[in-house]
Amino acid sequence: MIRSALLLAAALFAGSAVAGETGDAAAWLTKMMTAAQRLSYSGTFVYQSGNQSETSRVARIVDGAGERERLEVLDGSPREVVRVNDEVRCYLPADRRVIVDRRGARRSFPALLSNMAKGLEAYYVIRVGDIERVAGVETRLVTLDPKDTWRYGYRLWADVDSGLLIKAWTIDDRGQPVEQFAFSQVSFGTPSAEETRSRLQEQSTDWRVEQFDAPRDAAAGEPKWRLRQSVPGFVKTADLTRHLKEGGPVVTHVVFSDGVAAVSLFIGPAEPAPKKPMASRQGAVHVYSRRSGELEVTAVGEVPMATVRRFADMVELGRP
Amino acid sequence: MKQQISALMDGEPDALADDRCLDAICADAGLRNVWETYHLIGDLIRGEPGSAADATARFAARLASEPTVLVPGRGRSRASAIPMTWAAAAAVAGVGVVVWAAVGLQPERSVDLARVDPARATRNVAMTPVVPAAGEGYLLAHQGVSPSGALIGFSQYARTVAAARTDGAGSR
Repeated sequence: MIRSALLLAAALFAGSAVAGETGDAAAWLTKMMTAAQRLSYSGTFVYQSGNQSETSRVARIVDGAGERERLEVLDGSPREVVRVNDEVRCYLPADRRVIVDRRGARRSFPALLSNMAKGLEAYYVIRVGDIERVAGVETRLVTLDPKDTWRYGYRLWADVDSGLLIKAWTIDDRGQPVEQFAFSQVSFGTPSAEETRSRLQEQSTDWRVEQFDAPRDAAAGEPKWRLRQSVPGFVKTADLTRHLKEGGPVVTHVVFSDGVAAVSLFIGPAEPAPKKPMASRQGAVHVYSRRSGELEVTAVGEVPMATVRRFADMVELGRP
Repeated sequence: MKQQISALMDGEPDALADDRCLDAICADAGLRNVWETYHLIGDLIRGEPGSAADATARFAARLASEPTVLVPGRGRSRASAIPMTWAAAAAVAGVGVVVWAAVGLQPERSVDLARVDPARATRNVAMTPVVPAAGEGYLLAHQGVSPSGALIGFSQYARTVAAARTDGAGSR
């Protein structure tokens, strides 16, 4: 079949051309991941997907008290996202809403990290490229090209010294960027505490607060389901519960990842109103929902539409 | 493989039961183009060919209701069942033949299939540009658990709030 021929060709190519670089590339990915978790910095970056582009200001402090981060969108309505350790708050002034979530899944990352160093070459050709100057920073380009079309490719530019990601492109099977994050200016070192503090909190006292996180024990009578078949390379990395909207039902949230890309499966009670299968996207993230009886399955991931659809279709309900 | 794809589109039970063909389509951009093109051709053959833009929009609209053309619904309820086998053969000979046939069916309208890029229609038009109801919920939940997100760091939340960039869009 064509797919296996493609895989074989990719494997041969990887074997001959990149053998010496794979270790380097894995080391670079680990360095990037570590930098993203341990560094304090501030800067201005541009997020772009399709013809949509927004500039944001971001500041991050890591110290003995933990992690504090703030992101403010500088274009359009001044949305703000603030994180203090596990708690993330999104302030949406146009809607007068605050969305609150807890990132309980962070502990699953070390496992993914070790997975990145070892298992990635089975599904991506990873290369260490040239040194390029981005936003005034000397960066090293690391490329990940998928060996099949279940996942996207990546172009990652990391600061040569610290490993912090300065620019990231997600690439489709035609080599076109589907999403880009790029610093236009970045300052290393600890920003002032003021820079990580919410500026919308005070005026948001009468906004609607929506709590999305849900404790595990809230999920009495969790739906029974199983995945008939996964997508090659994707293994289960987290099993959580949550709300998807304020006052909504508790849903099961299961995560599958190939070490870089991830797909979240949400399984829970369907909305009362009948709904057709639904698909949408935001940048590289595709969303696909389908309904089966009383239950709804939604797959979300920074992967092509075919991949989220595959995951949603492969869920068999009623069988643990 | 093209014969298998056309059998699949005709809803032949053997073809539907065989996941290998679907897997191949999903895994190969070339085959996916064939699959998408066949769907477009099928629509044109069944009539209503408008301008190229109309065809693209219609294609997109149908895709929006059947969100992707990569995998057919098992219980596909197509109004018409023109066998795709001959269309596939025609497409192998050259899409031009099929365009001619389509134009022949509706001589008063012009169809420029060459200007319709089905893959582009799938990518850019078929999907709702922003994530609908509970969208931020999905994005927020997912971003906390994705390794690529962990690489990007906090900046990835620009994606979450980009879905809510205008009044009410992407919410409720």
